[in-house]
Amino acid sequence: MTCDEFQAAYLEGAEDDTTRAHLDGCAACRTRLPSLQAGRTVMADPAVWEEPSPELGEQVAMLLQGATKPPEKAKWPVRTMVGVAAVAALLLLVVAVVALRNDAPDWTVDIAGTDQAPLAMGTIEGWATSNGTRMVLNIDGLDPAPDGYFYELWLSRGPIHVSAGTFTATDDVVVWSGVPRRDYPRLWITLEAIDEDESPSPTTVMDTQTG
Amino acid sequence: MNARLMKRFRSGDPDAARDLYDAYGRAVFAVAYRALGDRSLAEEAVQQTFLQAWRAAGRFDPDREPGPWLYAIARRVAVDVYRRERRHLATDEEPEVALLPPSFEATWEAWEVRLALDQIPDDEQTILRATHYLGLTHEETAERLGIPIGTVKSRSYRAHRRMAELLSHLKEASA
Repeated sequence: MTCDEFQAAYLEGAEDDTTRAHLDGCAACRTRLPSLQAGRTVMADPAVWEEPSPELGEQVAMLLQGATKPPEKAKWPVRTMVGVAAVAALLLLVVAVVALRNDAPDWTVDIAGTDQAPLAMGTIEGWATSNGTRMVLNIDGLDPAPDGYFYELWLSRGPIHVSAGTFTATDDVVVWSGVPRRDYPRLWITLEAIDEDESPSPTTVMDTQTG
Repeated sequence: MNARLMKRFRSGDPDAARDLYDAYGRAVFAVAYRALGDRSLAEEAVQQTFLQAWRAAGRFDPDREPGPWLYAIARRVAVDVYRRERRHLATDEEPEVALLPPSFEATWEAWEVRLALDQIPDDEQTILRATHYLGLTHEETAERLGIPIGTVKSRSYRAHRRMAELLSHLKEASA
């Protein structure tokens, strides 16, 4: 059985001695297994097979025709754009030099969305100060918390979880922690209801330890 | 091709809106239908998704792939529709719940599978539908379609091989 044959058979639903034998001896197909499993599961979902009404496309087209036209970007003269670009580049250079000299983070860690927020991704930068660890969250793809909820960043060492702060949207989030990251290596973000429970909720939306 | 399409969409070309719907409409519908489990709510979400995309198109970089952007809008719209419906149904005994139900999980996978299916030739897609949606065996499929079972098997193999390739990025192995 070739890899192509195994993957086609597995995706179709076959799990017999032949496919198991191939899988046992093929590291490449074992790597592909999570994708094949996810694909097989979702292909059984009626949602991917149901067709929208034939007239829906026309309804969408009519809806958009009656809606406000999207604003086009302003067209600036080329000379103005070149000047603005030159000034911006100079400013960026200055900012970068200053940042590199004075404000480079002591550490940076990637954080990824879980199944609860599959498009979320970003980094957390940390600065060790005499007041504790200052952290800046640079996150894209995480929707603002719904009404009655907020996000909370946690630092964890095994079962010990220390909250580093809360926020509702990911623009310009700066939080502080009284414990050093080197002792609390896992950083993760939960969605929390506004209630009396101060422990982490089971709804983890982002984590530095994924996969 | 997508960059040209998105430049036209951004400039307000109605034909581009229709082209974008033709390319992504079924995937948007799959996300909404999976999340909401209701055809009419899902179709409402599809309309809202394209309307929001149309209004936000001026801020979209046409050199980027529109798929992830549209998916994000579709999922957010589905969340809004779900919460609106929950508010209507909320009672004192069963208050509004803000947490999303399990149907909102794996919407990205549904999006990817639907887009992959759109790239499969119709005759092979028919076999996939018979296998995964209708739950038919090769023999039953051959009988229903009036074609030899060997044809069903060869089309099934080609279709699943293509799908395996198209979905290879769906989930990374944790190992």
